[in-house]
Amino acid sequence: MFVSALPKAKRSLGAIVVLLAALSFALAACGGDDDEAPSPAAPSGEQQTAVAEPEGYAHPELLAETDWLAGQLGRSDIRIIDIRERQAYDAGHLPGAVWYDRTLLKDPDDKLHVVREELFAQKMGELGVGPDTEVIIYDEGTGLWAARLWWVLNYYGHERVRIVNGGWAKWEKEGRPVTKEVPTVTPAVFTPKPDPNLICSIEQVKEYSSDPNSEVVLLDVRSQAEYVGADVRAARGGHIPNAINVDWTLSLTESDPKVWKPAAELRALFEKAGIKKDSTIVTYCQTGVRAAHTLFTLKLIGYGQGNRLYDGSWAEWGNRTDTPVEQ
Amino acid sequence: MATVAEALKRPTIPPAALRALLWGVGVVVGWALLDAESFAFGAYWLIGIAFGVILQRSRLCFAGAFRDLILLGDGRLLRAILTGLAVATVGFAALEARLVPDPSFGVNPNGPHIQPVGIATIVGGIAFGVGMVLAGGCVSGSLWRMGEGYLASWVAMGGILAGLELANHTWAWWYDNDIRERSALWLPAELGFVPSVLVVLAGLGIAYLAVLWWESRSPRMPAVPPPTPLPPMGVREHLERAWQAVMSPQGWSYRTGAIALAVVSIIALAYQVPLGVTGGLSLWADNVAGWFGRSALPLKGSDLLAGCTPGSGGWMTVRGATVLGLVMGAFGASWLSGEFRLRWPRNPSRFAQAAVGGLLMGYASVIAIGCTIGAFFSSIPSLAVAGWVFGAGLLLGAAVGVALIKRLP
Amino acid sequence: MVELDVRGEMCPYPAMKARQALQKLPPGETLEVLTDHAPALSTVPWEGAKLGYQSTIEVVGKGLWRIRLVKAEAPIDTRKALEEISRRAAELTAS
Repeated sequence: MFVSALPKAKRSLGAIVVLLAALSFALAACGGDDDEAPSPAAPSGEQQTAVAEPEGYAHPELLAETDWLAGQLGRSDIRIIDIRERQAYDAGHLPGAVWYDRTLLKDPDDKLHVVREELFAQKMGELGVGPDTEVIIYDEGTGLWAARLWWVLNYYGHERVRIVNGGWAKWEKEGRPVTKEVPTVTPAVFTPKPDPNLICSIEQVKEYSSDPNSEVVLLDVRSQAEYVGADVRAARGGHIPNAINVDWTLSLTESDPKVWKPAAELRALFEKAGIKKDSTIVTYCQTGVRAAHTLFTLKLIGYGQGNRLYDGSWAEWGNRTDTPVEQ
Repeated sequence: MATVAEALKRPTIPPAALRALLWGVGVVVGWALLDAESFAFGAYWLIGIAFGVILQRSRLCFAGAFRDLILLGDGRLLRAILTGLAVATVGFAALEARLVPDPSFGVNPNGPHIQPVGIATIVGGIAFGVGMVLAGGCVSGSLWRMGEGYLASWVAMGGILAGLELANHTWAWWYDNDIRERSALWLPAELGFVPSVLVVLAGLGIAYLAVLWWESRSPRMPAVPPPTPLPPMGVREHLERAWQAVMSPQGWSYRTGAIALAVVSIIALAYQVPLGVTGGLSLWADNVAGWFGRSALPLKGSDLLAGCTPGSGGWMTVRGATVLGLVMGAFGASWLSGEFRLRWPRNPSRFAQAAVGGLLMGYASVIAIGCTIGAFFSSIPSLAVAGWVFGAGLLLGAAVGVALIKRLP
Repeated sequence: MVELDVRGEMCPYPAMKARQALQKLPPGETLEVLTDHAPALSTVPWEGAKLGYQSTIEVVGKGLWRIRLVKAEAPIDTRKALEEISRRAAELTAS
């Protein structure tokens, strides 16, 4: 009816318009299927008993899947820690979760290095974290800040720590219970036992960097732009000589909520960069947060022996005059 | 002091030099104030000024580009914009190659406008296309016309701000049902840099030819070169000639304007934030809503998204500085060339159109994470696929908009 | 003579309304378009030329013009006409 009444010019315009519309909708709708990573093997809600962690990882006990966690909320021997911004916590958090200030993962007086033991022990004690407590940490979703707290806990000798896979984003998307109630906590005694094998000083890094045949792999987990010196966040830009670059975000899937990629994919990723199962890896970034995340990933898949974190990272290295820099 | 005041009070217009001085002082004062807060704000104020001057002098208009092609068979604006896109693409690719020398890792560079491609992109493009034709100008078009004295553009801006804030409040629905599942497709991750640039240039070339074909169906208006002047004699004549070239009422050609805009766009990316305006406007709209306790920012998940995002908190941002600079630049360019005049449309329908069109554009810019600048002119050169999808939406929406305005008084 | 007053209108209304008016114009009539929008000095005569109308432009005031459209006797050489329109518009706006 419409078509025959229109003059020829309008009809061809109409045809072009319809074709364009079809093409655009097709393109837009296909835009989401790029996610090569299938969801982790842990079935959510389809099985009778929810599994704590997904398959394939060497240390699956480092992760906590949301459906498993939902069933553990009543336990008295776990401590759920929310490490998001205070406002986010106040607006709603997991039942039984307490809040930890993410700025207290670096020392307030010496911003380049990890928070000092007495302060950390006091804070953990206040949150009721004792020697037998299983700590379960979550952040907005990427696991970035959760990983930093995971590392600090490990550094101070507390190994029973899990990170919630998918964090708050996944928990909320799945419509799981949230509350504004702040739980009453029985204080505990947290005894810090710093483990020097988890940390790396600038002197050690200088050694590893200057020896091209070093057994130790220096892993820069920042963006490529920071690695090559196009994005400069200190007095100098670039990377530590002989360091290789694997962006920390590659540990996670592309879509939101982000979860850790399957083990096989992660192993292939690191192999491609030249990291072997028995390498020794020292990770660094700008302030040691992203580096902790990749350290977590490596432990998850069981890659590397004696991996450490260079805590000063680029904030230290890039601002000194006695350190070599490569671009 | 007395003479300045006198000069301003006289009914006759003050001489061009005085205007230039006053405006120049305004630019410097604005820069100093913004630079005191942050180097970036001052830099983008200046970038915004260049942006505004270019748009006003060349009368570049994205709304006109799509609308006039469909309504009048006139493709000059659109072809100029396609040329500008091509220039910007080459510059953007070079900058991106420096940020991410190895794109095969699949991590997009931070900064360039690489939005996720989804239903929100196409719906946003279509809604924006309808809105811009109704309102008579896109968002940047409304900003530069505000600087030129068009009061209808002020109404459009009101609509835009309302649309932005409405969208901010409904963002979570779009995010959860569409955007969060989508990929921010970036061509170099699949093809590498050189093939990506070639593909984009080829696409722009095909579009250019398509416009030429569409134009060939009706007689084409030739571009008239400016009359050749007598050769200049002394330094003073040279200066006058140069001033004339920039400031003449004739203005610049569309192509000059588009290429100049592309160059400014590349410079902006070099400072890590591509040209974009709606992010800044969105933040202001939300701050105002905050006075009534109805703030909606930060947008869920936006810290993981690229494009013209609003961020949260504060009043001044890089994009806000760009917006202010744009209006200041357009005002200066029109004031100094004698074109500034407060203009009031006689037809009441135009006001309603400006408001409704603005509302549509504001809403669309949030879900598409940018407007004709942020989601199109800064997105296609970023080698993102989103810009193309948004652009297709613009064309479709403009066609609908044209059908609408033909039926209006 | 039919008058079309599009003062205060900006693109594309002068051209669009001129086209609509010309299409409804009784044969033998002329159309006079009153506009204060500089780009209309090329777009309105162009629409006229497409429909076989010749145009003359009279400057009525500062930034105000009257475009007179008269049906041409013989078919217009559109190419020549458009060059003339373009040049004239450029001259008028340069002053």
